[in-house]
Amino acid sequence: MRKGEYIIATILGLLGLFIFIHADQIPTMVAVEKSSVVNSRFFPKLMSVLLVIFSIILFVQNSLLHKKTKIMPQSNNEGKNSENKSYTSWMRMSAAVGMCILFLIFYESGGFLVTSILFMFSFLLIVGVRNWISLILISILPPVIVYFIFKVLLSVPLPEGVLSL
Amino acid sequence: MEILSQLLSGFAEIFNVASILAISAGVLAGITVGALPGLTATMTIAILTPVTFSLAPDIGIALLLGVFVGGIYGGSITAILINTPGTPASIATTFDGYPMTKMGKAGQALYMALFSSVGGGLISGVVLICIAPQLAKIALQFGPPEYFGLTVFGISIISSVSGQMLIKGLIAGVIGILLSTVGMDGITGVPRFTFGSTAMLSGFNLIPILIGVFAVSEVFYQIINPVLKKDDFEGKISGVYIKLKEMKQYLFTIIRSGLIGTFIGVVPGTGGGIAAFVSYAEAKRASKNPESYGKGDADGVAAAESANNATTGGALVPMLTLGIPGDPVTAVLIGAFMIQGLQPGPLLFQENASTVYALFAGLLLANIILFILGVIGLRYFAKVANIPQQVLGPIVLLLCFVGSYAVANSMVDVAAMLVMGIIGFFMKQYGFPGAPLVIGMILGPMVEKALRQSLTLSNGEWSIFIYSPICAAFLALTICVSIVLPIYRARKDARVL
Repeated sequence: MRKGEYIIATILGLLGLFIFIHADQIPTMVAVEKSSVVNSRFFPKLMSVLLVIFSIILFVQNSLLHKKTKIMPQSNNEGKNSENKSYTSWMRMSAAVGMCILFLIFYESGGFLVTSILFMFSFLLIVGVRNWISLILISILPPVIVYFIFKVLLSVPLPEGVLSL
Repeated sequence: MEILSQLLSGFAEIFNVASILAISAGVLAGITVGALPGLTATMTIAILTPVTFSLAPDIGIALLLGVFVGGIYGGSITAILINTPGTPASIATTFDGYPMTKMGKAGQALYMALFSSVGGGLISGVVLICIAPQLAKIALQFGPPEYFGLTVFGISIISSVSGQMLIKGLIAGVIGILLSTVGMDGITGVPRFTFGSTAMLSGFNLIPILIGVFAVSEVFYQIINPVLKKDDFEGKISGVYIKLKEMKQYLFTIIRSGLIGTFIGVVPGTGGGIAAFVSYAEAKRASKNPESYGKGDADGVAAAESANNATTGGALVPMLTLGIPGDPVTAVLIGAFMIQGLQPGPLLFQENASTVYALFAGLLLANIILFILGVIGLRYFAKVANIPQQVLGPIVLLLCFVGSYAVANSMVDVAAMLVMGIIGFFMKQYGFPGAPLVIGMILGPMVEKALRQSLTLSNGEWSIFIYSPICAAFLALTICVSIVLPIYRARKDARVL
C-alpha cells in the first residue's frame, strides 16, 4: 500500500508536468486581455504547478509517515483492510468493471431493455447471487420498472436498440 | 411582508397534484436510500438530476429537495434499529436511538426521530426564507474582485471537507479545477486541452462526472469494502406514537437543535454529521440529567435528528445566494440547477424570483410530506434495511447509465461517467476524497473568470483585491480556514495523542 502511494504521487507529479507543458502552448489573445500575465494560459499553468507541488508534499509526507510508523493507525482504513483484502473481491470488482464496459459498448446498439437485463443477470452472478429465482426476478424486474417509470412516465430518452421498430 | 406575499405565490405555484406527487416521490426515494447503508442522498440526487430534466424547473428541483430531506431522515431508521447509521449524518442518532431499541422502545425512537427531523427541517426552512433574500441583495453588489474573494473562500472549503487527508483533498480539488478548464476558454474563446477534438470544445459535462464520482465509484468500492451491518432487527415495532403531552418536554430541544443545525449548515464545509454532534453535546450539557444520555434518552435522538435535518435549509443559504456549494449534496444540487438553465447566485433572486420562492415553498412542503409519509410508513421503512447489498449494486449502476445518457442522449457522457467512476474508485481506495474534485470543478471557472475580469478592470494591478474590503475580508477568512484552522486542529490532535 505504501508503495502504491509513492507510485500515485509520482504519477500525479508527472501529470502536473505534462499539463504544464501543454498549458504553455495554449493560444493567447493579448489584444483582448489587457493583463498579459493573466491570460488563458495562466490559470491552467498555476493549477499544474500546484499539482506538482502537492504531489511532492504527498511523496514527502508519505516517507515521513513511513518512518514514524506510530502514526500509521491514521490510515488504518486503507492500510489494514486492503492488505487483508481477499483476492476474490478484487476479482469480482474487476469483473464488475468489465461488465460495465461491455454494457457501455452494447448499450446503444442493443437497446436499454435487452442489455440491462443481461447486465443485471451477469452482474448478480459476479457478486455471488446463486438462487435462480432471485437471479431471474432481480435481473428482469428492475430494468422493466426503470423502463416504465423513466421512458413511459417521465419520457426520459433511453436507447431503443434492437427493440425499436 | 414582501417575502410573505412572494412565499404565498410560491405555494400557489407548487400546490398542485403534479408537484405534490413529485415531492412525495422524492421524499419516499430519499427515505428509502437513506435507510439503506451505503446509499446516500448525494448519490440519489446525482442519479436523478438528469431525469428531472423533463420536468418543469420548480417541480424537478422540488423533487430533488424531497430526496435531500427524506435522505437525511432515512439514515436515522437503521441507526436506531440496527445501530448502523444509514448516512454519516445519523451517527449521533445511534447513541440513544439504538439503546432505546434494546429497551423495546424502537417505535418511540423512530417516531421521535421523525418528529424532530420534521421540526428541524421546518425551522431551517423558515430561517432560509428569512435570510437568503437579504443575503442575495448584498451579494448583488459584488463585482469581479469580490467574486474572486468569495470563490477563493469557497474553494478553501476543500480543506474542511477533506478531514485528515488535507493534501489529498487539495490534489483532488486541483484536478477538479483542471478538468473544468478543458474546452473553450470562457473569456477569449481559445481551445484549451482539447487536443484538436471538436467534441472536447464544450468541455466535460458536470452531471456524468458527478454520477461517476458519487455513485459508480461507490458501487465498485462496496464490492471490495462492504458496509457491515452491526445488528439485525427482527422484532416488531410497537407503540409508535408518543402522546402530545410527552412530546412537549422535547420541544425545547428540538427548537434549539434546529437552530444550531441551521447555522452550522450555513457554514460551508460542515454538514449534518457535525451539526448532530454539536447539538447532541449541547443538549446533554443543558439537560437536567445528562447521565441518561447514551443510555436511551429520547432527548438525545431529538437533538441529533433535529440538527441534522436542519442543515438542509442551512446548506441551501450559501448555495442559492452565492452559488457556493458547502457540501457534496449542494454541489450536486448546483448541477441540477444548471441543467435546468438556472445559475445559483444572487441573480437567481432577481431573474427567477418565482422559481426561488416556489422552491422555498417546496422545501417546507417536503418536510410536511415527510411527516405524513413517515407516520404512515414507519413500520415498512424498517424492512428496507433487509435488502441484501449485492442486489443494490447493479440496480444503482443501471440508474447511473440511464441518468448519464439522459443528459444529452450521448454515449460520450456515459463513457465519461464510467471513467470517472473507475477513477473515483481508486481515489476512494487510496483515501482521496471525491467532494473536493466536484467543488473544484464547479468553482474553478468562477474563480478564473473573476480573477481575469478583475485584473482587466485594474489594468493588471493586483492591488485591486486588497482595495476591495469585501474581497480582502474573504481572502483573510480563506487564510483562517485553510491555514490557521488545520494547524490548530493538528495541535489539538497532537495534545490528545
